[in-house]
Amino acid sequence: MNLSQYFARIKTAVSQNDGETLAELLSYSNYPSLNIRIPTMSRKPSAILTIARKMLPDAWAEIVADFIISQIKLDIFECYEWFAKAMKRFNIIFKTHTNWSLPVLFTFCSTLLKLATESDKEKIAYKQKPEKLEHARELLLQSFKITTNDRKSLDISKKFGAIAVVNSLFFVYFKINNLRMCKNLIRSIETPQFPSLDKFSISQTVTYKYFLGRLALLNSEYKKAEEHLTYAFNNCTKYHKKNKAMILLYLLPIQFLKGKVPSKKLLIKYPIPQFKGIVESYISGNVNEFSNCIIKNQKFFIQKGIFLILENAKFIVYRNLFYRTYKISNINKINFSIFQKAFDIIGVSISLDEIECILSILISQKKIIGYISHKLSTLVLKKDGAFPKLNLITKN
Amino acid sequence: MTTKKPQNWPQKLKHFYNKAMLKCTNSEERIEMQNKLKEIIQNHSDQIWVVEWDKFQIPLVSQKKTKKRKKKKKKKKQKTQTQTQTQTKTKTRTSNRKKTKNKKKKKKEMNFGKEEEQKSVPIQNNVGNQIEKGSNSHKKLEKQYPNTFQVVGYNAKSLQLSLPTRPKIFETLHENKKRVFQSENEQDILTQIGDLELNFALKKVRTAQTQPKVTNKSSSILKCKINQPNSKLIDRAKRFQQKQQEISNSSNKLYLRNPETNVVIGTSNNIEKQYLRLTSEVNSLNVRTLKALKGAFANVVEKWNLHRNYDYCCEQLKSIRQDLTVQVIRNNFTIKVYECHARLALINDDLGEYNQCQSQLLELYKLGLKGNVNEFIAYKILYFIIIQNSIDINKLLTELTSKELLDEAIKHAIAVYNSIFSSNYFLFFKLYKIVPNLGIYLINHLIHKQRLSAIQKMITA
Repeated sequence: MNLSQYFARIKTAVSQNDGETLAELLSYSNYPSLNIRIPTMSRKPSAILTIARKMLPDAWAEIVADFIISQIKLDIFECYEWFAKAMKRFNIIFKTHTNWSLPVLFTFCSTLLKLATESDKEKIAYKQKPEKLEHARELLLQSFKITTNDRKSLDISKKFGAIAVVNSLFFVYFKINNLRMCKNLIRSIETPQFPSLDKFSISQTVTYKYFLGRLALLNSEYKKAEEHLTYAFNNCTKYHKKNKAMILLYLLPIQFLKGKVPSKKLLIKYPIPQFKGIVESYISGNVNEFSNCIIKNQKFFIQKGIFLILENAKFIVYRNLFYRTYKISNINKINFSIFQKAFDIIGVSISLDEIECILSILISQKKIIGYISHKLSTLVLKKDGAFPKLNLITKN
Repeated sequence: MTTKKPQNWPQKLKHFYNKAMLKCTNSEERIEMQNKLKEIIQNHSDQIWVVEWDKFQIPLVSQKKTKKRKKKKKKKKQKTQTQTQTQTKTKTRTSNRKKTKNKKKKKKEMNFGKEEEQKSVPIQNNVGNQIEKGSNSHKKLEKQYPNTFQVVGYNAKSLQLSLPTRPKIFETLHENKKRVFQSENEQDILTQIGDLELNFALKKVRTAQTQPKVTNKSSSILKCKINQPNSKLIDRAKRFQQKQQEISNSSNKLYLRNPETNVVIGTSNNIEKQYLRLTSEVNSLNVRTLKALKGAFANVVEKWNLHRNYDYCCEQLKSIRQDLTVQVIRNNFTIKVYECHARLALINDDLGEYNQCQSQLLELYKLGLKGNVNEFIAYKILYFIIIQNSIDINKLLTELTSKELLDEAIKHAIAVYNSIFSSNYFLFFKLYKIVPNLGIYLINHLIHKQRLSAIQKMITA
C-alpha cells in the first residue's frame, strides 16, 4: 500500500479507538510486512509530514510521520532519534487518552528498547559512549508517570499499562547497570491502590517477577528471589525456551544453595553450557572440579551476578564430599585425616585445620549433626541422620 | 537634600571627588565622571558620613566604550577591583612568568604607575580577609581577621622586576584604565601609610599620571621603544585593546577566567590555606595556581612525615582538592593528591573522607588517567563489604575487566568478600595475614565481627 492508504488505516483506527490495530500499524517488527511503498521523491521528512497532516489530526500526524521517517532511515542513530521524537509526542497525547491506546504504548516501549540497544551496540563498536539507553530511560519514566498518575476508574484506567513500562525500565536499568531507581518503581507498584498482579497479562507478570527475582538475588534476599523466579519459571510457557533458560540461570544457583540439583532432563531441555561441569561436580562433591568450573566461567558469572552465590555453593560441595566419605567409611567417629585423604583423591591439598574449620561451619549451619573433638581431631556424628537432607534444613 | 550640596560633604568625600576629577583628562571624561560621582553619592546619600571615601573606588571613565557589564553593587565592584589589583602585586616572581596572557596583561596594567614605596599592600575581601606585608600590620590584622592567608614572601621590587616588559606607548593609549588602578593604589596607600609617605606617594601618583611609570629594569627597554612611529602604536593598541577589554571585564567580574573554557584560573600562591566550604562564587584570588598547589602538596607530605598530624594534613589536602576541582584541573597531579588523601584517611580511620576521595578517583580513572587503579578498586570492594552494600559490589564486579580480575589485590578483596559471605572464617583469617597494600585498615573494621562469629561456630561444633 502507499502512504495515503496507510494513513487512512491509521485514521480509522484512531477514530474507532482501536488500540490493537493501531499498535499493529505502528509496530517496528510488523513494519516490513505492511509493505508500504514510499516513492523516493517523498522520502523527505517534510514531505511525509505534509501528507500525514492532510489525512490525520495534527498530533497523530506528527507521531506517525516521525515513526515512518524512523523506519525509512538507514542509520540506526537517526532511526532512534526520530522514533524517540514520535514517542515523546505520543506521551503528550497519551495523557488525554483512556486505556484504549495502551497497546500502542506497549509496542512503542519494546521498539524503543530495541532501537536503543542496537544503537548503543554500534556506539560501543565505535568506542563512543552509549547514551541512547539513558535517553530511552527518560522517555519511559515519562510514560510511567502518566500511567501511574491516572486516577480514573479502573475500567478505563491507564494503570494497566504500568507493568509493561516498568518491565522496560527494569530492562534499561539492568543494561546500564544502575539499579538504584528500581526500588522506587517497585514501591509505586506495590501500593494497595494499584490493581493486583493477576489482572495483568501473564507475559507481563512473568517478566515482572523475573526482574524482581533478579533484584532480590543481587540483594542477597534468597527466599524472595526463589519465590519470584519459581513463579516466573512455572508460569512461563514452554514455547519460550529462551526465556525459561534465562530464568533458570538465576534460579539454579539459589537451588544449589538449598541442595536441590537440576535433573539431567532439565539441563538438556534448557541448556546452559556454563552449568554443565558445575552440576556434576556438585553432586559428586568434587570441590576441585567445582572451583575450576567457576573460575573458567568467572567473567560470565560475575556479569550475571551469580558468581558469589556459586562460591557459597562450594560449602555444600564440601558437605557432599564429607557425606560420601562417611558413607564409605561407615563409622560414626571419623578422624580428620580420613577426610584429608578424600581431599587428596580429588586433588586438593588441604590442612587439618582447614578441614576442622569447614566442618565447624557446616555444623553451625546444621548441615552436619555432630560435634568436633578437637583433642582427638575427630568428628563425632549422630548415629542416624547425621547428614540431614539439605532441603529440609531450616536456616538459623 | 542637604547631602547634595557640596558644602555639606565630609572632608573625605571632597577629597574623593577631587581625586576623581583629577583623573579626567578631557571635558567628556569630566562630564562622565561627574555623572558617575553624582550617582554614587545619591546611592549613598544616607551613608555619606559613614562611607569610607578614602577606600572608595573611583568610577571608571574611559574614552573607548567597553562591553556592557551587569551593574553589581558599586561597592563590591570597587572593592574587588582593589582586591584583584593588589592581590596581583603580592605575587612572586616565578609565578608571574607562568601566568596566562590575560593575567600578564592585567598585571602589566596594574603595575604601571606603581609606587616603589609600597610597604604594605592590603587586600580587602568581602569575606574580610586581609593580607598584608609588613610585620606589625600583619599581626594587627591577624587579630582582627583570624582567617588570614599566609603570604608567601615577596619583594616589592622583585615584583616590579618580574613584570613582563611592555611598550611605553601602550600605556599612553590606555591611560584611563591604568589610571583607575593607579588611583586604587593611591587609596590603598592612603589607608596604610602615614602622612609623610602619603604625600610622597601622592606625588608619585601624580607624576605617573603625566609621565608613564618607569620601573627599574624595564626602564631601559622602555626607552628604546619610545621612539616608534605612530602607525605601529596604533596597530599595537588595536591588538592589545581587545585583550584589555577582556581583562577589565574579567577584573570587574570578581574572578579570572580562561576565556575559552570559562573556568576559574587561580592566582594565589599560598602554600597553606585553610579549608572553607564554598558558599559563593569562586574568587580567583583565593584559588591557588597549579604550581602553588604542587608546592602545597609537597609541604603537606613533609609535615605528615614529621609530625603525623592528621587533622592538619587532612584540612590542607581538602583545600588543595577544592582548588583543583574549582579550576577543573584533572591530571596526574590530581590523582596523586586524591590517592594520597585516600591513603591517609585509611590509615587514620576516616572512612568519610576516604569514600569521597575514592569516588573521585574512580571517576578520574575513567577519564583515562594513570594511577593505582587496581589498588583502589580493591579498597572499594572492601569498603562495600564494610557498609554491606551487596548491590554495588555486584555492580563493581561486573565492571571489572578480565585483566583486573587477575590482579592480586582485587582477587584478595573478592576472596575476602566470599569468605565473609560464606562465613568461612578460616579463609578469612588466612587472607587477613596477607592483605596487600593498605587494605588492612579496612579489614580491621570487619575483623572483630568475624572473630566473634568464628568463635561461635567453633563452640557449636
